[in-house]
Order: sequence, then C-alpha cells, then structure tokens
Amino acid sequence: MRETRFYLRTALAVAVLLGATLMLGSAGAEEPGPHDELPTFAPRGADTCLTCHDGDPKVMPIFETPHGSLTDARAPLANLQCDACHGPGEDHARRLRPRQDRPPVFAFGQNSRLSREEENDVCLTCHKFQGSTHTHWYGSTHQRQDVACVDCHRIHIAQDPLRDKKSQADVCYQCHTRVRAQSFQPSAHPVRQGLMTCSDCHQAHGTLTEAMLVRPTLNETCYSCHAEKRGPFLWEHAPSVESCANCHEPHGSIHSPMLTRRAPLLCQNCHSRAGHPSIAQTGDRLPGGRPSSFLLAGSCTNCHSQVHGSNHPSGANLSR
Amino acid sequence: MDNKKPTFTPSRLSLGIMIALAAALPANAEQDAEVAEDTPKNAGWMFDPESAFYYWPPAPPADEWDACSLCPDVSGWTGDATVGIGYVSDESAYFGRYTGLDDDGLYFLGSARGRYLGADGKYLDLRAEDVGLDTRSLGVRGGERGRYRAYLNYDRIPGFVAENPRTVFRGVGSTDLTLPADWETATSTGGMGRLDDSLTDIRLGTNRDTLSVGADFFRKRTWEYGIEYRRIEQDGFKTQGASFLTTSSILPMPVDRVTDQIEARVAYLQEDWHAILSYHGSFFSNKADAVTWDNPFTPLTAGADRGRISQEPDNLFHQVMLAGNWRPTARLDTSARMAVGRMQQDDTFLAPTINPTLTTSALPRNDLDGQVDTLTGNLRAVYSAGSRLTFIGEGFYDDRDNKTPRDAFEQVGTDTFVGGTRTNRPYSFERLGGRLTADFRASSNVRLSAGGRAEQVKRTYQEVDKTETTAGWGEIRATPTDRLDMSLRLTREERVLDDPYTALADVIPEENPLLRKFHLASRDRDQIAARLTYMVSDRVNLGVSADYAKDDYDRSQVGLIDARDRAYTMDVSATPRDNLTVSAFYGREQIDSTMASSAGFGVPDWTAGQRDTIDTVGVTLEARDLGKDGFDAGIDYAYSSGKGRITMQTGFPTASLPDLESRLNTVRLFGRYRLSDKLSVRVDYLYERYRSKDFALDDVAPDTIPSVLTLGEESPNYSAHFIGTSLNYRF
Repeated sequence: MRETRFYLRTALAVAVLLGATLMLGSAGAEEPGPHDELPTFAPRGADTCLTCHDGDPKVMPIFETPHGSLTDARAPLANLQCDACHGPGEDHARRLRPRQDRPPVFAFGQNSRLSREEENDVCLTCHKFQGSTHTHWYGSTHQRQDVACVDCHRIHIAQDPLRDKKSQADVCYQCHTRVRAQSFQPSAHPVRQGLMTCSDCHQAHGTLTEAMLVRPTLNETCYSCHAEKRGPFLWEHAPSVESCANCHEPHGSIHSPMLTRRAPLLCQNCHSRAGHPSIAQTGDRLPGGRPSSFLLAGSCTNCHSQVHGSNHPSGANLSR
Repeated sequence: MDNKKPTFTPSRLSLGIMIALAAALPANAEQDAEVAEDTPKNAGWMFDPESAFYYWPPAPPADEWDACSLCPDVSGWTGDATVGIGYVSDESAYFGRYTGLDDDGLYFLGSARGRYLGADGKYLDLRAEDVGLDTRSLGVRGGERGRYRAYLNYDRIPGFVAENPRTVFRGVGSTDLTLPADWETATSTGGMGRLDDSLTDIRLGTNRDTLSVGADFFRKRTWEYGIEYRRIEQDGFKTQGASFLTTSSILPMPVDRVTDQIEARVAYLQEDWHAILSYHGSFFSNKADAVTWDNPFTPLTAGADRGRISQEPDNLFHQVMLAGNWRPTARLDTSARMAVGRMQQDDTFLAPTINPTLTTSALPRNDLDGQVDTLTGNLRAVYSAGSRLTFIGEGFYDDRDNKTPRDAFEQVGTDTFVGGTRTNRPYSFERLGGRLTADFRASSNVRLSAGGRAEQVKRTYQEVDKTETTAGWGEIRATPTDRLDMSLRLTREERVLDDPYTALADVIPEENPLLRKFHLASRDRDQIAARLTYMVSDRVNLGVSADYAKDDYDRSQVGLIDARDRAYTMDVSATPRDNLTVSAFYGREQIDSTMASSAGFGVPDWTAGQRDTIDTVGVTLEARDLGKDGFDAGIDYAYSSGKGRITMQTGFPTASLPDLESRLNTVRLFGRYRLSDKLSVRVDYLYERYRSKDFALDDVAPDTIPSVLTLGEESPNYSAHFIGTSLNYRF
C-alpha cells in the first residue's frame, strides 16, 4: 500500500511538473521580432579588426585553432569572422573624435559587459550543434552556478589547456580546490600527474548522471576502466555491486586503495558475526605483542581477498 | 584451467547498430560540399534582453570578408621537439609510480609535437611525450576541419604495488606458484626453518596500456557520427591473500587482463532539438583466470598442500543509449536519456577444490550463465518563468535486474574440508526518484535557490527490501560587488527503511541482530557548503571554501554510528606583472567516524573512532621573458600531510594503535633559456621526499604474523632527486 502511494505521488509530481512546464513553455513562447536599428558589422570583417590587432599575441593564435579556420563552414572565421563572437564591430573600428572613448566590442571573461549567461549563449549559438557533448548543459551544475565557457576554455591560444591531458586538471582545480587537495593523498588516481583527466569520469558540460559522470551510473563509470570488477559474479558483494562509493573515495584517500576508512574497521562497519569479525583489534595485536592476522598486512583481505566478488564455486565467503 | 574463452563477438544487436551507423555515413564527398550552402552565411547572433531570445540579424553580404587579406597564412608544419637526458638519484617503486622514474640512473627524455595545417582545411597533429619513460604517450590526429577527423592515442600508466617485497614462492609471474624443493612446512611462520634462506627480492608493479582509435564525421550541421575502438591492457602484478582456513599467504599474483571497448554514435541535430543514438560495448578478458599455489603451512587435512584461487572471470557488457534535447522555446529546455544494457558472464567454473582427497557433489551447472539487464532513464526539464525564476524538474530510474540463476553450491572450505551448501544471491536494485529545483534571482546581486529530492531504492536478497530518501536544500548566492561572489548552501537528507531491518537467515554464523549496515541503515545527513571568491584587484584573486557534512545513524547500535567531514580551502592567485604569476593554496580536511560492535554478540561492548586529518599546501611561482634574451623560470612547491588516528575503546586497558602518517614534500624547479628564435635549453629539477608510517606494514616481516606469510613489504619512504636538461627546437 505504501509502495503504491509512493508511485502515485511520484507519478503525480512528474505529471504536474511536466504539464506545467509544457503549458508555461508554450504560453511563454516568443517569436523574434524585426529590429529596426541594428548595429552594423565591421565593414571588412576580420581585415578591419586586424588593421589594429595584427600581430597581437593575445589575438593571432586563434588562426591556428579550429575557430580560425576559413574552410570549416561551422567556424566563426568562415562566417561573421571576429564579429561572430565579439558582436558587430563597426562602431569599435570607427575613427574617433577628439576625447571620444572607443566603443567596446563584446569581450569575455573578467570585466565583460555580458552576463555569464549571455557569454555562454554566444558560444552555444554554434556549440549547441555538438550534440554529443552539450546535450545536457541547461540545468547542469555548471550552468546553474553561472560557470562561463571562458572560465575554463581559452580559445585565442593554439592549444587550450583544458584540452591538454597534462594541464586539464589544473584548470578544474581552480574551482575544485578540495579535489586538488585530495589528489595529493597517498592513494589517488594519477590526475594531478597528468596521466588521467577529470573528463575521463566527468562531463563538465553536464550529463543526467549524478556528479556529471560520463556513464549512466557511478559503477558503470568505474567499470569503464575497471571492467574486471563488473562481473556478474557467482558470489557478489552487495555493497560493491550497489555503489563503488560505499567503500572508495575516488578523489583520494590516505587508505589504499582509495578506501573511505581503514580495514578492519571498514569491514566491521557491516560485519559483526560471532567470532573474529566482531573482535576489537587494538594496539595489543601489533608486532611486539600478539601480531594479528585480522589487523596487519591485508587485515580482513588476508583471507577474504575477493571483496569485489568471486566466481569460484567454493568462494561464498570470498576467500577463493 | 580449461575455461571457456569469452564471447568477444559483439551481439547481433550491437552488430546491427554498427551496420546502421556505417550505412548512415556520408555517401560521398559531394554531399559534404553541401555544408557551406546549408549554413547561414554571414549569420550572427544578437541578444534581445526584452525577449531573452537570440536571433540572426540580416548581415549584408560582404564578399571581401572571405578574402581576409590580413589573416595570417598558418598553413604548413609547425611544432617542436625536445631531446635531453635526466638522472634520478635513488630507486623507489613508490616514486616511480605515475612518474616512470622508479630506477636510479640515467633516463632519455624526449617529446615532440607537430602540426600540419593545409590551406584546404586539412590538418595533422602528432604528439609524443615522455618517450623515454614508462609514462610515455603518443597521439596522432588528423582530418579536415568541419568534415571528419580520425585519431589514434596510446598511453601507459605505471602503477605501484609494493615497496621492497620478498617472497618464498617460485614461478612469480606465472599462475602456478611453488615452494622451493627443500621447503619445510610448519604450523606457524615462526617454525618455517627454510624461510629466511628462501626469501627472494621481487619487483612488483603494473602497467596499464591504453590504445584508442577512432573517427568522427560531420555532415552538414545535422549529422554527426563517431566510432572508437579502445583496448586496455593491464599486466604486471598485484598482491592478494590466499588462505587455508586458519593460515594465509600473501601471494604475488600475475595480472594479465585485456578490455576491448567499442563506442559508436550517430547524432541528428536540428535548431531546437537533437537526438543521439549510441552503442557501448565492453569485453573483458582475463588471461590469468586462476592461480594455484603451494601451502607453506602444515596442511590441516590431507591433500590441503595446494590451493587454487579464482581471478576475475571474463565478462562483457552491451549498452544502447538514446539521448536527446528539445528546446521548444527560449524558456523551456528538456533533455532525456534512456540506456538499455546487458552484462554477461559465462566463464566455465573451476572445480570446487583441487584437493584430491575430498569428494564433492557435482556442480549444479558448468558456468554461471550470469546475466544482468540494466535500464537507466533520466528526464530533465528546465523552465524559465521570466528572467528571474527558473524551475528544474528531474526524474531518474535505474534498474539492475540480475537474472543470474540461483543454485545451491556445495562449499569446500579453502581446499581443506567439505562444508555445507550455499545458494548464490544475485543482487538486483531499482532506484526511482525525482528532483525539483527553483532558482530565483531576487535582484541583480542575489540569487536564491531551493530544491527537494525523493528517492526510493528497492533491493533483493538483502536485509532491507526498500529504503526511501528525501532531501531538501536551500542556497543563497550573492555578488554584492562585481568583485565579490559568496554562496551558502544547506542540505538536509533523511533515509528511512520502508520495511524492518531483517538479518539474513542463510548467513551462518548469523550477524549480530543489532547490526545495521551503513548503506542500508536509517540515516540523517546534514551538509553545509560555503564559498567566497574575491577579486582583490584585476591582478589578485582570493578564494575560500568550507564544507561540512554529518551523517547520523542514530538508530544503529552496531555498525557505523556517525561520520563527519569538514574541509576548508584557501586560494590566492596573482599576476603582479604580465610575465609573472604567483599562486598559493592551503587545504585542511578532517574526516571522523565512529563505529560500535560487540565481541559478546549482544549489545555494543566496544567502539572505534577514526579521525583522518589532511593538510595540503602549495605555492607556485612562474616568470616568463626575463631579461632581453628571454629566460623563463618557475618553482612549484607542494606539501601534503595525512594522519589517521584510530581510537579503540573496549572497556579494558589496551595499547593504542599508532597513527597512520604520510608526508609528501615536492619541489619542482625549471629554467628555460632561449638560445635563438628556434632553439632553447631547459633544466628541470625535482626533489621529492616522502615519509609514511603504517602499522599494518611497519615491522611486519614475512614471519611476524604466525598465521600469515607476508611479503614483508614496507611503508614507502624515499627521498629522490631528479635533474634533467634538454634542448628544444621549434620549427
């Protein structure tokens, strides 16, 4: 009965939500209207801009990037050129009257007069067509937190650090400072060293999975590299199957291999059968005292070493 | 060892998808040529703040734009190559993990990058890094911009297994570990008379090699295709305990695994909607699927002088996913995803034992015939009710339907005795839930957010059939000035059991009835997160964060009782001059937990508290273009300290456990001097000092634990210097 109520409540909430959003969405639809007074574009396109900016090292490397391609019909340079992102630039390029400030074009990043959302929409004008990577941008954590594309990407240099395996993590660590600290732990994935990237596990443009993981579930994300843990096994370890995060902290830990707590305590959190699982392992069981197989070396895994599951017919207790 | 090999051939379903993808690829180059015609020429964007809508103003044709006479000609080859030599002062497996510098001595240093750009849009990128090291990486990428690209990447990650291990076993690297011919068994490690003479030093490490080959195709703006094949090879060693009832040996186990993966996708893109159909196939193969070893202890029963332990079986996974986005108006964005998958595993079972003196019943089946069907569905709708208010509604469903057959298997306890039968428990899970979020811009400087989440998880064969979790949260974000950004978020979450927690009947001996496993137990969770970023000036930024999380399992008497996590970070970055950057950070995290248990199999009679304290400090300084000849230099220092303190309270006087400790000091220096426009010389220096204490390893020689023959590995401790010099040539 309680289950039925839960389903009914959930279905009702989803129906109301979708109905309301669709109704409001159609009611709020607005068609773009003609604009009488449009700013005008730079009269000679990029040539107008390069009249002054030619040779500027903060500008010119873009010609080495996909954005600076004249042959890619999708690229800004093959369309409205500089104006495609920086807006109509005729006023900016015009000869100034005495004491007149030069009217700015749209700039990005610090001191931009565009809001973060407006900045991003400039990029999304073209990049929304990258269906495989930007499908779930709206509503994602980064979108909701007003992260701008240019907070992470640099497009006027030949090699965007975010797209370089060696330097990507440093970009992410600028905001994810706690994760950076975790990366220094004795047991951590080699992200800080540039042998893995944050984007191996996370899709920063948003996904529908928690923590913007690249696969539909947490465990499937882990199995991308650790397929040996996937099974199914004859004898499964339930918490392992349900979520790797029950025992592991993937950003780093002082307990190898990236465990949330130290064995045997980690295991004793869930195992309290009569006998050795429920015995307290104290400092009396160290070398020099009565060295314990339940505390030292691999602790519980000295015997129960198949903690991710066993396919041995006699492996019910995960020791074969 | 005559296990059936994996079914590597993708299923007919996946084959069909790949054929469909191939059929949908561009038929010929003429079709590609339509790209330009299909794209609005000279189109641009313009933001209308009234309607919050973007449109394409009519830009006048400007033929002269196409010429772009001032655009630089970047066609041709560019790149650079580095050749040098490095020296490492000390040998350490731990230092070598992730650096490839595990041996002392000389190393060749080499890297190169090359890029060809053609005037017709064709390009080729070549990359080789760490050529002389185990961390080597290669990449080739080429194609024609806007039409297609193909790539090949290879990289290796060296891993750490153990520091200075020693073993008595022979045949290390094989799946058959034997003892020396003159080995003398004993009931405890202390009585193994030939132990010291038989120990040999071994080197244990792993390498993970990944090769990926793929291609992407773009047809007009409406079609996008991609396919990738990836092969991951792991080889080397791991350590694993293997037991005979009351005794155990830590074995140097071979690792020889291969995972083949295929990804294929096709996307159809329109102005206001798009859809992506993709396939993911993963095929895992283990060449070392079982290991046999000699029992170094006196066998408890006849025939228990050799044992066999299984390794991970071959398995495969297919998944088809459909994802899409529909944006009917500027105010409404919807996206959805559905993934259907199947995991399979049918490796032939090993025999229940290799003990020839034991008689066992026939296995109920020759292989598991394991199958898990997965179904994941997600929906999200984002609605902007005006310029200030946004609602986000999400629903999710995740089903792991384990269809593996159940059977009773007679258990042979560690190749020693025949015990009773156990029936396997193929676990299934079903998660269903939703989230609703509202973001409200109270003013141009303040945004308020609030939301709630409800989730239900159903499980099979576990102590709790169903749990329900509800959560609510609120957040305020304020930007009182253009330079200051602050946020505070509070979250409250409750997990309740829908049914009584019931200990499993077929677990013998039974679990303490007061135990509540933490992932199934009732739990209250509170979280606080605060952030502040302040742009002190155009050249100085400051960031501070604080996170607090507390889990209460106050209805648990045995098991995890509470957990608490506090983390603080502080960051400063500055560019005092255009050619000088300075940054520093500090972080502290403190993780506490308390558990209770009962040695008397009743009410709790002992507790354990664990506190992990982690401090991290880093400073980076980099200067470029010093002096008129161009000299770059940088220094990077990092310090990280981890301390784990375990406090046992048993009601009796006991010795305390020593703290777990790790301290890492790293200093990196570099200097680069430009000899000419094309040639530069660089000097690198790295010093790393690592100290660690781990009571589980320290002073634990192979014969320290009477019932466990260990590898005598040590806590990693090293000081290593690396110095290298290299020449870089740009072309």
